[in-house]
Amino acid sequence: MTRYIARRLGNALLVMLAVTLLTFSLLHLSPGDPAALMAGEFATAQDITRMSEKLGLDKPLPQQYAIYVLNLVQGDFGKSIVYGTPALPLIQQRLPATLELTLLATLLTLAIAIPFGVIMAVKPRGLADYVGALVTLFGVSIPSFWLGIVLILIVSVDLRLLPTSGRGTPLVDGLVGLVSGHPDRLASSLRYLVLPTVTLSAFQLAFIARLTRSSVLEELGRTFVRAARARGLPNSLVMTKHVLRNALMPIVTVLGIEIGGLVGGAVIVETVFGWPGVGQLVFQSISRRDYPLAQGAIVMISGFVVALTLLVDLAYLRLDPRVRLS
Amino acid sequence: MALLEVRDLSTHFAIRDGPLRAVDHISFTLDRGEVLGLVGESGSGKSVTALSIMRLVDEPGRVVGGEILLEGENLLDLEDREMLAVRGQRIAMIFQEPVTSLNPVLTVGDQIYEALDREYYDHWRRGFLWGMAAAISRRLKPDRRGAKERAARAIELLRSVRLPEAESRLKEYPHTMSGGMIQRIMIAIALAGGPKVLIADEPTTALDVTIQAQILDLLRTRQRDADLAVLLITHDLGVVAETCDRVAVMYAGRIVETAPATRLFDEPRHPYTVGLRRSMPDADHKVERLTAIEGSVPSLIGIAESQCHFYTRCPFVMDVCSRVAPRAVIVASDHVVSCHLYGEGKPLPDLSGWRGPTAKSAGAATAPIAAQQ
Amino acid sequence: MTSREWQKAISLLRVHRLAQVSIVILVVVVLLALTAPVLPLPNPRDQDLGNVLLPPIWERGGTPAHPFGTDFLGRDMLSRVVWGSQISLLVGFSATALAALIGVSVGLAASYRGGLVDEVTMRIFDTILSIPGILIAIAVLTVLGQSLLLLIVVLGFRSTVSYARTLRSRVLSVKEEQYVKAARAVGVREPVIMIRHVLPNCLAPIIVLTTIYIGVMILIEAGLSFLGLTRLHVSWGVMVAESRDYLATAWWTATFPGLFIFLTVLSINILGDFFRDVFDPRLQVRTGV
Repeated sequence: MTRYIARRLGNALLVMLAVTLLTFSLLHLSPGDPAALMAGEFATAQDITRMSEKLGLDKPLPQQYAIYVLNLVQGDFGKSIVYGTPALPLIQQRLPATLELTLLATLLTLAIAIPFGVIMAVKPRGLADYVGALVTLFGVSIPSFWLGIVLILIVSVDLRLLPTSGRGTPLVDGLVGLVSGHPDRLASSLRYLVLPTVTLSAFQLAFIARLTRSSVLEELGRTFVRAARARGLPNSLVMTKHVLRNALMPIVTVLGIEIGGLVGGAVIVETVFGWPGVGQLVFQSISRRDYPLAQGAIVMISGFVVALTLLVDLAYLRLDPRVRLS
Repeated sequence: MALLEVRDLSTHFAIRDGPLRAVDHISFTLDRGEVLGLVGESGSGKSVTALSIMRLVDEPGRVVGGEILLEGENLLDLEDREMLAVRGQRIAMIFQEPVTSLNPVLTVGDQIYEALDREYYDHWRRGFLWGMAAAISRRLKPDRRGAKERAARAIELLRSVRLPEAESRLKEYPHTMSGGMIQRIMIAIALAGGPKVLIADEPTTALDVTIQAQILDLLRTRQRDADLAVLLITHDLGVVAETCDRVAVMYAGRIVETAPATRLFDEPRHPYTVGLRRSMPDADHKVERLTAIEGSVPSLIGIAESQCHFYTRCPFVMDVCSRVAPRAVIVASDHVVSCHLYGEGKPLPDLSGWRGPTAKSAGAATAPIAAQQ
Repeated sequence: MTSREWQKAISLLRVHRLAQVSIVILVVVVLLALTAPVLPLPNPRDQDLGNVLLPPIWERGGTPAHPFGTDFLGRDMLSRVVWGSQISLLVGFSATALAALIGVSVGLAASYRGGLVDEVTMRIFDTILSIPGILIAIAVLTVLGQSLLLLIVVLGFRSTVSYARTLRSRVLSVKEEQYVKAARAVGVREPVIMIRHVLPNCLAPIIVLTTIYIGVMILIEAGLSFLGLTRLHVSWGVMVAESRDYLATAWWTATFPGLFIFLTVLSINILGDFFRDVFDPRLQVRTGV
């Protein structure tokens, strides 16, 4: 088991290195003087020189990279050109918003897609299966930005049920408010969260539902399931202990892989809904040519994804004891 | 009264081009303490018969007719919940591929307990929520004494099937064990509930010949000890010869001949059985070549009912064979055949001259069977 | 594809109404893309500031000159939608083709070789797969310019890995099959075995993966265009992006391009399911009783 964890950790580290390598090389591959790019449009010659020194542009490339990584590790993500303040705090400030959105979307996905997938598998070619097949088909085919816009059009503009953009009270505060007797805070959170969450989870929901269906169907056909039934085990137990537990393994694996896609989707959804998260920050900083901020945001998000993937890997450990032994 | 009596059982699968009559009006009996072999090629319907008795046939298959009488009680009339009490406790079943018979991500012990821990699993019988509640409360308040007792019983069970190092096996996972070992465990699990009938679906087919002998031996011993009735399903006549008291031969979903084992080998009456017998190498009679039965099993999808399914391959085929389904005829005590060669007042035919391929059989082979086993 | 599978495909197609509709839709879209230059449509880039935001023909204020209305610069929507199909299909197909070509070859070679080469390649691929794709696409596109080619390469990059990995598991199982061992025993040389025996049996997952990925590529391209990361002028994604400021008053500027993306991808996905059913040995074509 320790070997498994060690391998996963090693992999995570490798990925982070790859990401930093990528952002680093991109800066140097793009046309123009890296120092000038990092210093910004309104930089003076002096600023550029200083930046040059900071980046260590006179030193050999590998050393520059080392400087870069060392800075990152120490929390020095550079200074944002647009805001003029250090990049890291800017990014950190936006992290909760993105976390809120992605976690809620994932929860929604799991809570709906898996049970629904199970129902579809247990009664193949039944009503639930046909409807589900159609709905999930739509879900994986619809572009998320379009879904978001259509939802805004219908729900916010025509029906005026929900706001078109922005974020309300942070969810955590909202939940605390629920306990302390201020349910309106939670309402304020949720009002703004509904549409972006639904939009973000749409693809994943459909995808996981289909995956659940095929995974469960596969397990249902296994001999040991039949053997368990032949022992007189009631259906509820067979489904839970044998079918579902085994079916979850590939689902969890795929979830781990899909996290990257989810976060990427967050970039789009945050942009559509004006959601002040890190995804939106990435987009904005790139369009404004705020290189340090963009770089930092990308690294941060990647780190986030890698951490989540690691968590999923550990969850998988719990499910599949064979991995524990190897 | 026979312990298990199957009467006129039919199981069909709903397939596009017509119903697939995997099991077609079959009848047989099984008594305490006897081993009945159910023999046939792949696709003859033997496994579906077993699953039908256990009522484990999956969609699109369904039992469409007949009765399955266990100690006089028709299993087909039972509610699903009542059937749960039958499975494992009154009739048990072991399957062909031992390695896939156990859940690979659970320990062997965990799965043995399933057969021993009836009260706990009764909670699940009442529904998912009760079951989960029971599981959670067990987690929070582990019943150490009960666990120890269970473990002891499990070890005893494993020892009863001569599994070496029983104690350490409990914590292991199936993939660390060989097929033979797992099949022993499956037998142990099957017998744990004290059933009166054991259905063994090709229990040794996936195993080495030497292991095969051990498992069959084990089966025989346990069967004698517990006075079990065993339905042994196989396509291997050698297994039948060694282990079975009586034999029923299946072809294309129908039983064509039933007889005591020795009789079946000494004096087979149905042409199919004769053909099977002749295709076996025999230590007593040396032959230059083994005779094969020409042609192949017809596709069961939408097959005509009023015919003998074997007629396209039968060297003794007559006109009536393609038009009328043969009925069961008693040719001797405890020896029944379904063939138009036999009937009231007809003399026993001479089947010694197994002629070569008939004109019909030469062109009659159709697409291989699509039956679900 | 064996003849058995062909037969199955044809008989399945006869009953599968959705698949039939999908094929029709795709054919229409492809035709539109191919014939765009010769169709009697106004130039998609022609601005007509006197006629901005005209509604579609069936609404009040619509004119037959612009059946789908006009956008905020007075450009004809129908024409833009038709021309937009070129980009989406071009990017979708070529990125997938590129990924398939490279991924399959690499996957085939590496896994067939086995050993260290296989291990190392797979590790590298695993790492690549773990990197959040869209971010990298965003980063690369912004920094290195926005040419179409680059877009295609970037898109294809990640799916290359998917192809390779899928191929790999398939190859590993095919390698153990009897006919491969038999061929080798008879003395057939390795490269020939690979091409003549192993590869044809890997076609099924390749086809299924391809149908998945063409759809995914189209969606990603649309998304990237929406974010403004491509320098394309007439792409469905760009059209949706441009429509954002006028949503409240001009719903058609967003709806039509998005609808086309949706329908195209939907059809591709339906066909993907169709092929998956064809190749599934457990599935038999039945009307059910």
